[in-house]
Amino acid sequence: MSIMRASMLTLLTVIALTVLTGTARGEAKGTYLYTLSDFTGSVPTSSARVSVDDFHKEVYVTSGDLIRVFNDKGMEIYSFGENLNVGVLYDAAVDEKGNIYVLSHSYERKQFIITLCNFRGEPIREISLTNIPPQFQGISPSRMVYRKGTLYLVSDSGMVVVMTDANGVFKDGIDLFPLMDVKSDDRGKRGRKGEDRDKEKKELKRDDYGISGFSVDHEGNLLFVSPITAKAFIVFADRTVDSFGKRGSAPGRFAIPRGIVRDKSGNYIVSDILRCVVMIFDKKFDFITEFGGRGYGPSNLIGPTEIVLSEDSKLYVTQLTERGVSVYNIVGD
Amino acid sequence: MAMGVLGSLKRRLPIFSFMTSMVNTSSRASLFIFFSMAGFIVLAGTGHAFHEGGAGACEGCHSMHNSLDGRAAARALPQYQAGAYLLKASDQSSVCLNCHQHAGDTAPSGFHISTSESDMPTGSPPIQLSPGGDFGWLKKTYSWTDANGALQTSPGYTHGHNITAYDYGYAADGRLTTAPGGGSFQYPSNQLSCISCHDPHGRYRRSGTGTISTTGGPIIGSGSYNTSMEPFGTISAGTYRLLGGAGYQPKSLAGSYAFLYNPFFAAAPEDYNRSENTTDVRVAYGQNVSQWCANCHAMMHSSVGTLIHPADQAMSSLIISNYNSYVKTGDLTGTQATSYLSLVPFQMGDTTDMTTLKGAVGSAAGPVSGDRVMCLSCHRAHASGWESMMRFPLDTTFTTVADSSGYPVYPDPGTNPTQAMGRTTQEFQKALYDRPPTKFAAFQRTLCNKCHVQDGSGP
Repeated sequence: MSIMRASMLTLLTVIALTVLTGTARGEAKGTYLYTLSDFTGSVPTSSARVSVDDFHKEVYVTSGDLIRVFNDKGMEIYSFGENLNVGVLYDAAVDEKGNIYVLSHSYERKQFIITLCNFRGEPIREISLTNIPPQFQGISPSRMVYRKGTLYLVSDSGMVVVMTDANGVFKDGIDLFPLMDVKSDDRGKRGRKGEDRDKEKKELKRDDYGISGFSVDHEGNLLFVSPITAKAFIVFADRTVDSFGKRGSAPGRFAIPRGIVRDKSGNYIVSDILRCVVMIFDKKFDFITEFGGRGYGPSNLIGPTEIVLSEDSKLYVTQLTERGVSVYNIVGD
Repeated sequence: MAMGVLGSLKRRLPIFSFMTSMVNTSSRASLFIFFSMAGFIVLAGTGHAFHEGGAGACEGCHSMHNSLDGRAAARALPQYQAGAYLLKASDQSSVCLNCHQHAGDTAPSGFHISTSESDMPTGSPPIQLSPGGDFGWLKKTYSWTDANGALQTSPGYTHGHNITAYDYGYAADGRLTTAPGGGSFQYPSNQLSCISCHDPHGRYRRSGTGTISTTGGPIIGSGSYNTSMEPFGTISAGTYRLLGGAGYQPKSLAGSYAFLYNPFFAAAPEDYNRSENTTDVRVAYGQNVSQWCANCHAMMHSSVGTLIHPADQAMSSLIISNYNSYVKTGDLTGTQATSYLSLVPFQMGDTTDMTTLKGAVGSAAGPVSGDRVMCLSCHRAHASGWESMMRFPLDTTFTTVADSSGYPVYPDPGTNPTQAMGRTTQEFQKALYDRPPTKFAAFQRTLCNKCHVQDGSGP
């Protein structure tokens, strides 16, 4: 019994230290730089979608029917989209040549549209998806990422990713939900008695989840978070999956994670809309630090949602309450 | 190899690591403790959709050990700056919307009940289609010039319950300072939030005998769905949609506003948030719908109010006959078996029998003798695309017009501004839950006629 007590004591001590103090490892921090602005001040957007054009050092902010373009100093230099007539704009991505891919959904046409635009945002042509396997044909993407010749089209609610070439020809697809390995007891107790319960879980549980914060790291791994289960996931190139994160309100814990990216040092950066912080974890998922914090100071955050990291280590954080997009400098070890 | 597998399992499943360390102590007591814990975990679950009919994970909403502005628990890290009630948001509704609104939705999605402004620019409708309605309609103000040349408006605040959710751009009703029809019970509109109706801690439960209370057997799951477990023995189910019951008053609300009535009995399908372009979503409503609304709007209830549309009253045989025969303007060929219309739902008698209600989910059958008209027959609970949070347009003569071939189309704001009321055809259709205009007659009259049939012979 004494051995058992010692084991329990050690275990509880470790847990307590982890919870109460956080586990500060490594060297990384985020320093507030500025908020994306025009000549009248910070640009008021809520829950916008941000993408970075590392080739041309520009930042695209998509919201509603407008795409704003900012330079690498955070000043708005251009905008377009109002006259594209392709419905509600959801995302934008830029390739090496400066071509702009615009993802939208049209009520009139009852479908999503990918419009290839030139560097001025003038439409060149629409890109239709081809060779899409049946299991991915119903995708209704809300996100789009361009990486090295591949367009990643992501449905947050459908939890699927379709990868195509720049012309929309299918390359690959992933159903993320099975990879999340949601445990049976994550699903609740509907029809709890007997076999019905398991049957219902298999049939119904997908709608209760959804993902957020999809990104592709420099190694081609796919990153996303599950706000409902408070976990972050990494899908590696070989389709193996790892995850981290625990629900909580202490430093390094997830309340409602909404965004995730990975820096060149291998650190994982996660935003949490409830805790109003951005957290940094090392490559072993050990918590390093966090920054932001709810408040109305320049460096504070109100409901951080999307995060995007540029190659020059600028982290773009979108927020609620028309707080716009705050930019931080990330310094990793 | 075996160690490799074990190592992998440990990495993926921390509980497994804990278990093996316990086994290594060779202690039967340890194993007993472990399996007792495992048994508890299996019974308690971790909560799929978070609430599970009761209190969800505390730290999904609260930040522990913080105080207002972090004054009493200030630490070096910024997360110690907290809001009132240890909430990490400006207010209660903003906490709810952290999960129940998701920017980037392209279609109705699960438990989302509000659309981000970024997803509904001018001319585009809110996206969610839950039976309660999308709060995004509160942000849609329409204006138009009618046939007489007069400027008309349909302010966003008339489209629903004006919850206050500062982080998400929802403000208190600027016109009504208290709940309309409240009589002496004047619920302050600047305190209206999600938790005015929904108990965030889900304390109200339904026992196996149908009793609703805040005490009794533990809540083991949601009680909102036709697939929900039924309470048994000492086990309870949550009330429909975590609604507060008798005695409920949010802790944050000063004064005496405790509810008098318990939540209603109802069952919803799992796919409740979806387009109704082909089939209707049927929520089966049972006892107490209108009473529950009367917690704040008592003077609009038949038992107290005067000069009002009946609520919680049995439909007369004439009304039932009208409902079942009415298909659309000029078409009275309907039958009871297929006459249900979710734009004009009804309460199934005064039943508390969940088996009956669950069995009716998905049914297209219309009312039978004893079924009742209720507040939700005409209004949505959250918000709608129409004034007074109506389920269908009331302020225009025609819901549809006709194209050059005589087929029904929704009015275009350019050519039919009086009928369109400032809405685009997309907004018009979405406000009718995606129904194509062909579900109606050309020059369809208001759906008051579903019960009252004054348009049987067409326009």
